[in-house]
Amino acid sequence: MGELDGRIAIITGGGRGIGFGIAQRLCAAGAEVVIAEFNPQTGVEAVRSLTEQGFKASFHETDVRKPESVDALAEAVRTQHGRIDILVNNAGLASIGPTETFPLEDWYRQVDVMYNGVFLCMRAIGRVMLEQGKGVILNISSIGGLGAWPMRSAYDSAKAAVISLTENVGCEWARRGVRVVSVAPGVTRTAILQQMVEEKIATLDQYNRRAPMGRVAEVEEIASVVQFLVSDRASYITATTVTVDGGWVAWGNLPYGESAQ
Amino acid sequence: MKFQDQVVCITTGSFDLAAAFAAEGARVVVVGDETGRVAAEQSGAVFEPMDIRDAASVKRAVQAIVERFGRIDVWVNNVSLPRITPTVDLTADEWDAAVGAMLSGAFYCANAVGRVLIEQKRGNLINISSVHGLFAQKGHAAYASANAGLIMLTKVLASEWGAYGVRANGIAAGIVQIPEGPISEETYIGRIPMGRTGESREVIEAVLFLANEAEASFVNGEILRVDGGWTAYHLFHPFEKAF
Repeated sequence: MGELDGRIAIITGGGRGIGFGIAQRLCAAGAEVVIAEFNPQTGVEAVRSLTEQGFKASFHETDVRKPESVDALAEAVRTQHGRIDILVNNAGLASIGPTETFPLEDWYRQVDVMYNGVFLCMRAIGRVMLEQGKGVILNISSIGGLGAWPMRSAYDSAKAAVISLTENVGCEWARRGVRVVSVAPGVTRTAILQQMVEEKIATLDQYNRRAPMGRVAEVEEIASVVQFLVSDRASYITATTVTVDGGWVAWGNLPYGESAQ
Repeated sequence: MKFQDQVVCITTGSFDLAAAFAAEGARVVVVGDETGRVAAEQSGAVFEPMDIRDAASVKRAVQAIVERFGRIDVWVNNVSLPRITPTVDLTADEWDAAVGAMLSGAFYCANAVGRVLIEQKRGNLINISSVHGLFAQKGHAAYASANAGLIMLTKVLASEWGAYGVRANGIAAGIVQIPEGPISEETYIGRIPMGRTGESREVIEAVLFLANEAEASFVNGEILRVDGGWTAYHLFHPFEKAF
């Protein structure tokens, strides 16, 4: 018996990285998961892996940038399952570079996936939840959305927008049974981190030492917080962002003593 | 069970919180003044006398707990003295009483317990603060300032102790019990997007979550808002007027 038994959860970008970790965790707690992925191969492989573990999962090809694709996702899941209990807006991508020469297509792609895409999914799936009078939407933001990282103006401002969306829509729907919350992960051990390290944007050691806990997050440590927030245990938590960063944002980052960088 | 055999210490009177930890297998110690002894023992906890206003008393209590149980896994600071008075009418004694118990007391605890946790390289501390530590309210000078101080103390502890694998987190609790004073229940509810006060169970679940290494192992320096949307909202009162 899991605390999410029978709940229907949609996870955008659920095929890889943090999204897949969340899928695993919610499945293990009893939820039935719809992996809404842009890349069919990634989506199908994720579903195969989940079903092999005995979990209930399906794939729906989705482009969160396109209203018709998002509407089709909402309609398909509602038709098939009769309801939608949980939406995790996780789809994202990171490209970095100096703002003054930042390629416009990279700007628009990031804003389309991580800001507009979150809005479109909240709008289409939130409508179903409002009709039900019950539901939880969890948006994945980032510690980048809580402060400045040079060379990341597109990613960080899109993630800041997610925090504002969470607060605005969370309040708007607070009396209608739909909670909206957000998680801001710190640097997490995923393929994206591996890529950053390989591209020598920073060393793993630098990331590790920036967090008071002296390490980056494991995907499972983000997923466990997501499970808590989408569960009934968090019934009075809405319109807020929970950081999962080992103390990164709390610490003002002035080197001192042993923990000095 | 989530806290099997863990030593969980709670300052003062939330016996429901003590019972919730006990139900998850914890060995619970309620620390505080003697008036709590009977209720603590009824909720399945051990009682340890402590005057939170007195640093020496706190040190003695922490020492006694470590001598008896050999360790401390979780420490919850839970003192709350709401008092609503215009600042010009607030006496220095009232200010000192509120800030002394809620903020200085939390420091005394952190000071004594921190050593134990750092040495163990394990454990966590939770400070229960309030939405009033994040948003100012009229008549809340002492209470809000103490709670804001408690939030910053939490973040400093998280910054210092993270390297030892010890976590420190806070909760910004919304309104659970209507405090005595001039503000009506209806006025409070009008301020809350969810349109209801919180249940103590909802704050307890948040404490259990933060305390649990299997769930919140990378949550550190976080002030978790359990407030029905209170701190996200700042348009008109009552909330209905926002639409």
